[in-house]
Amino acid sequence: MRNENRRRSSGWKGVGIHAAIWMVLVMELFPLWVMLQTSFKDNRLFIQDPWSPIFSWDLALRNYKEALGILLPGVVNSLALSGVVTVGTLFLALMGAYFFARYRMPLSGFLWWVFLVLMLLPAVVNLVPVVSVLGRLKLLNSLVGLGLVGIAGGQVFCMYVLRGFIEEIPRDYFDAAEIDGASHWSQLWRIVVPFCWPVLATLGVLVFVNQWNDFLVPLVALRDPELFPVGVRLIYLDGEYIKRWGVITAAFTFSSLPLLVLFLIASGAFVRGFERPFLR
Amino acid sequence: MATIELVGVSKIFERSGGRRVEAVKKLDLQICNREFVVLLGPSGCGKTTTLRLIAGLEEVTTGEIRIGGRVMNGTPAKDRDIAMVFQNYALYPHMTAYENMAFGLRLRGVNRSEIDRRVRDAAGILGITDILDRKPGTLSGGQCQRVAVGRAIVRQPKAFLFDEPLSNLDAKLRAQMRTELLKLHQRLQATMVYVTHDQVEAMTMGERIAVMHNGELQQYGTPIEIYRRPENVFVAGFIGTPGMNFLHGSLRCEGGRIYFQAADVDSFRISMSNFNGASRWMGRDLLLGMRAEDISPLGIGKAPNENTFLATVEFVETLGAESMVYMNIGEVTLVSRSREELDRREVGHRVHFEVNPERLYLFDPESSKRIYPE
Repeated sequence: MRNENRRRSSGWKGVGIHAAIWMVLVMELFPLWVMLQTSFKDNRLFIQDPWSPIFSWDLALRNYKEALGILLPGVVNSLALSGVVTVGTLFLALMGAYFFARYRMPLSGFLWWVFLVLMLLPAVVNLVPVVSVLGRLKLLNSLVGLGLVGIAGGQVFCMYVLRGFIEEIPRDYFDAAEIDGASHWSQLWRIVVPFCWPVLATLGVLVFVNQWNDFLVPLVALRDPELFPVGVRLIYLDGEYIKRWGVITAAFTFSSLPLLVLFLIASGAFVRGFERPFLR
Repeated sequence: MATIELVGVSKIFERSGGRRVEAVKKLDLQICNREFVVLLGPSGCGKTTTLRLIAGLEEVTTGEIRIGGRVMNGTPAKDRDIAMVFQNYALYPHMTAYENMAFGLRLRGVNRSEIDRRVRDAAGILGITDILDRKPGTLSGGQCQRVAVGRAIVRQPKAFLFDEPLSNLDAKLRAQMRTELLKLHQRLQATMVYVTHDQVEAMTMGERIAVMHNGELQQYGTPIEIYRRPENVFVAGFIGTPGMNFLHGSLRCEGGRIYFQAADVDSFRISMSNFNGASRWMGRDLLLGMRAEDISPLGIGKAPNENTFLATVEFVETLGAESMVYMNIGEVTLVSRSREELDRREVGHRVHFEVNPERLYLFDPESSKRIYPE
């Protein structure tokens, strides 16, 4: 009797959990659905019926062609910028995390806490100082300056996550490597990187997406439209008097595609990165 | 191959809050060329720290470490020309067995054909040729162990250091690997230092054993010396299964003969007539030590004598070839291990036991040092 009650209550609990999951999924996917089906319409069709899918391939082709023409330079800029920022951030954060995980020196504890405090600061607080520093370094209106800001901005979070993972690697691996004659550099690349590969992939995806979606710093720091990343280019589609919803949503869809591809490629590693590594 | 010498070596760890822990205290140890020495002791006795000091993974606080006559203080681990086998094997899970074994040689710039030759030679010796292309995650504990040993062999170092390498294996495999490591030592004729808390491993493998406790060397000698002539109470109690029986009491002289009289137990009086230096210790509190195999139930037809005592049998464990008898003398429990069978019906009864007068030990409880045999 008690078992039956438990089964029944766990059955209801399961239904509740599934209902909650479906609700979240619908809330997440509904805007994407609206974006996708709107990209197949012109303004007339959109105003007539904003919710129902009407697949007009001619209109879709025209919308996507126009969006591509406007966005393509931005996509190239964003791919280059996000790629460089991702590699740079992970490279430097890995070295910092390796140091903090394996060595103690005077004030290293204090230094670590200073890093953590930086993580608590909202990014927008740094906007004026960052632009001011870029101006003094003559790096305003340049992708190099934007890359440096991106790399610096991602350090604290990545180092925080990586330090935890590196500390979990048993000391014997490092000792064995040290006896075998491995330098710190060698230990970093031949031991730490293979062990941390899943979390590096996860962090890579997060950093890439974060940089791809960055809007405020490029908007303030860049003047030359040729250098605009995809996020800033999207505002060019937003007409002053008329909004062409089909083209706008086609551009949004197009700008999401690289992230979608990235997630599909790295999804396995992305999930594994949230787990603790299996260490034998 | 090389000698290893530790001269007055101490290691102090600075813990949080300014706490200082002295893990190794003024250790002097000489390990001869091609010798197999075991560092033995309970957890936290400083044996692994000593091994790490020899390896160069920790810096000595004071003292000197010499390998092959060369002072190694401050020399990085990679330049000491030693190889180490770790407790958890420390095989890199992303590399195959072959790559794990070749790792150290690659880092040292050994050419590819030489690496291949050495890895295959070592694999042949250890019988792991067929698993060279497998990753550690797919290997059994014994195979991992062999690969870890192989990784040490290919380096052809001056000395091998083993840090409890068999402790993760089951009892059967451990016995097998013990024999294999001994064969390997005979074959390589290398200096080996082996850390363990398992006295069976120490007794069966070590040419000499260094028993450690609380960071201090308690005794350094051959297994039989350690067993037969323990220098203090700790060594006597730590070595042997079950541990040595101890009984407080004092020496008395009656009718020109010397006896050990147990404190608070009138019925326990054993002859110590072989103790020439007894006069110095007469009447002082002493600790009598008796190994379990040196106590046995008095045989049928034998009369009680000055080497026998009466005790109440608490319980009997029959092991087949021999029996363990747990007995009470006053508040103290003693254990005997002998081939003499004692009927379980004797449990609860007072029975005569006989001790081997040639195998009695006396310790000074103040200093813990052995005073007899001298």
